[in-house]
Amino acid sequence: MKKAVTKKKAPAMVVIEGEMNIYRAAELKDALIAGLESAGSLEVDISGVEEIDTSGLQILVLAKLEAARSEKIMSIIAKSRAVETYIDLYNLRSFFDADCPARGNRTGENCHGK
Amino acid sequence: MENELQQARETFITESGELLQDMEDALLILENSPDDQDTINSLFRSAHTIKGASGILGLDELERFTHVAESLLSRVRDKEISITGEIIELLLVCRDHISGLVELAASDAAVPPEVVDGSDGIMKKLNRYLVGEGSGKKTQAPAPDEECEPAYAPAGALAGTGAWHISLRFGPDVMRAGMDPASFVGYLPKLGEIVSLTTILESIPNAEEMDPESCYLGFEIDFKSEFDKKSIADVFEFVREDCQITILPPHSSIESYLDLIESLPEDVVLLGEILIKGGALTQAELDNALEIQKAQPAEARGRIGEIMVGQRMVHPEVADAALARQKTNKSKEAATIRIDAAKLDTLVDLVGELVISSAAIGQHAQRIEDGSLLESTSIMMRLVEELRDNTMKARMVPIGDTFSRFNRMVRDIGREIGKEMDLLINGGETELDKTVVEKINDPLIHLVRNAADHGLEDPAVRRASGKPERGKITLNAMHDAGCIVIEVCDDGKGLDRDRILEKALTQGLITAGHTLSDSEIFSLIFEPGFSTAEQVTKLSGRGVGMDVVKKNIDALRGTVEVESRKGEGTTVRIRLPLTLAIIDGFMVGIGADCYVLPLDMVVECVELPSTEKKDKEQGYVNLRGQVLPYIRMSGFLGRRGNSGRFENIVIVQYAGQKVGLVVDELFGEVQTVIKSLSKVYRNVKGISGATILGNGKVALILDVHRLIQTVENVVTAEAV
Repeated sequence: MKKAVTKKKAPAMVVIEGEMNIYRAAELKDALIAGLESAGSLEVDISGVEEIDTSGLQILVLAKLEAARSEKIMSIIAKSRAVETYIDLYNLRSFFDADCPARGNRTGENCHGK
Repeated sequence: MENELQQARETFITESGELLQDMEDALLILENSPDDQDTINSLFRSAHTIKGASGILGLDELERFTHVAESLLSRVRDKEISITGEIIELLLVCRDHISGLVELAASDAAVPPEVVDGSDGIMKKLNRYLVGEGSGKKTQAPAPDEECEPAYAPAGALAGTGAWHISLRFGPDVMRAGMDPASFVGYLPKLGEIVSLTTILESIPNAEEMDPESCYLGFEIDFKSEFDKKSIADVFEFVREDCQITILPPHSSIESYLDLIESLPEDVVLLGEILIKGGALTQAELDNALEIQKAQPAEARGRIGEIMVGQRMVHPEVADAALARQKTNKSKEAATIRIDAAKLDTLVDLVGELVISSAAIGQHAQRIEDGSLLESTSIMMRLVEELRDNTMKARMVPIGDTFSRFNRMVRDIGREIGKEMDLLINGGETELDKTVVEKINDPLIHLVRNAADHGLEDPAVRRASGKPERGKITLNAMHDAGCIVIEVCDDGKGLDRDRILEKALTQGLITAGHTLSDSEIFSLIFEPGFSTAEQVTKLSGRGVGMDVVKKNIDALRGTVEVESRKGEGTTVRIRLPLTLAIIDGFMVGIGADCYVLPLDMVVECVELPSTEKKDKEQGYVNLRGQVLPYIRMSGFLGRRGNSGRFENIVIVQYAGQKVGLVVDELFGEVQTVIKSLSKVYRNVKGISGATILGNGKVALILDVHRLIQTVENVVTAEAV
């Protein structure tokens, strides 16, 4: 099922690779927020993230919350094992999957439940 | 951050050293009194603490292994497994393995595969106990490293009846301090099963205000576990201070949940929903309770906290334990701080320099003869003296810790060579300089091994000679005249005087025809390569060791002597100076020069009777009815004496012997910072070091022990 998202522009895309930890937290936060501001929706590809910690996850949460506040859509289109482990640990899968714009399509395999 | 983690790791390593020692002591106590519940508890706690900390520091192998050992201990604690010799043996092996793993962690090395194999081997043995008796209730918790965990058997018993509720709000600085909330949450599955977990995101501010390095997360967790509240709370030990942690036991009263809801910053409705979802409360209960609460007057609500215990929120014994623990923690924190030994060394050095310069000021003041200057100088000198004493005290540690390590060693040696023996320790509270303690350890190991292996006879021999079968090794420590005396005694067969002589002759250490005193003969065992043992055993007998002992003790400016009676036992007595850096000295003048004697060794000063001729180099005087040999120092040192009419004898004592040293002048007490002489002077007899006086001159420190030996030799030679 496709969600009715009226796209005025193409979604912004942020790709994060390597480490997603407290050392890069500030930089990544700025990147995600800037991406969100630049367009009506934001797609995040974190399939290349090898290492993540709670601060990294917290920034993803922030982006998601921020998107909801400004009535935009933020979706994680691809994520690595490391990220999935963390999301599962914190039981946040459904939180990130909510309003997943391309559910059943591109990110289908990442959106399935537990 | 890296730095802080490193610090945490270092603290962990020091602390586990202590914990491991505690474990060893506890195991040895249990060997004799297997029912001592306190000791079992402390054993369990030690293992538990190591495991917890290693998990948080990411030392996986250590955690994996300690976990299984801890499981066995928890069974022992719950009296499901009784303590046997076999179990103690196994636990000692575990302890050693943990110790090895801690060392690996200390060196930051990766765990080599053979060590992992070692862990697996021991764990197999452990699991035999765990599975054997616990097969009735198999584990069902979905822990990732399941294969080594038949240890705990959670859930089951409590299933369907309730779960713990853990409410966590991490402090903002947790991540900055190098800790990841995920490691705590991720640890919980090892204690039980997470029934539900909700991450609380409500505290995350909007993007501009959010500091990406702060932690805004909270968790509401429902958790099934057989562990007690303390064990669960211990998981969060490291963040306890920064975080708001509430742990409600299963079947807590509804009021306590309400109280929790009230104490949390988030919306009441939201939290209520979470609790309902986790199964802690039903919707009806919540609604009902909220109604009641609203109806109650405000001041009554305020007192909810007081009735928590009554409401089963906290089991009273848990509260007591937690309180007691907090108290001891507090008092410990207040009483001690850890300090880098190098910092202390620097301090001692500085104080040493201060002592020298204050002595210089004192001398100047005396020359100037200004009353008020003299007065303030004397106050300053007294303060400096106190400062020196206190600084030195800070370096002093009791020798008991070193001694208690030998318990294990003696036990192991006994097992290995089939002798039964006990170790007795006296004077463990005797304090001495930390550096000395460290350096005395190796020589003591040699001596204790020797006593166990060579000194004590086989049980059969002992029985035949009418001694109790269990041998006895005694470690004594005591203070004596500015020295510390450490004795290693055994009640074994004693040294064989004739065999030593014979061996020494064949090895060319002595020549035939010499008459030697017993103590001289026994000292031969300290010669390099000397061994009379008929059998070379694994432990000793290769002729290496005793000479090393002697060398090490010499390096500490100490002495070692042997006393032995055939058939009754041997005592090796080590004398060491209390400290290596500063001593109270007694300054004397010989010729034009100043010399310093350690004040502790000076007994008294008397005038040399005028009947003693001036040109006589040595002789005897009658000291209140005792014969006192003396030597004239000016002659001995090759200086020309310039004594006036009176000459003085300084009577010094060492190891129970008294001799007189005739000197030209007495100056009195001085504080002396010992500066070691360079290698060139190492073989000069009678001088142990030098010091710088207040006036900048160098004074040599006389080595009383050597002097006494020399006086004895000279005097006896003359008598013969």
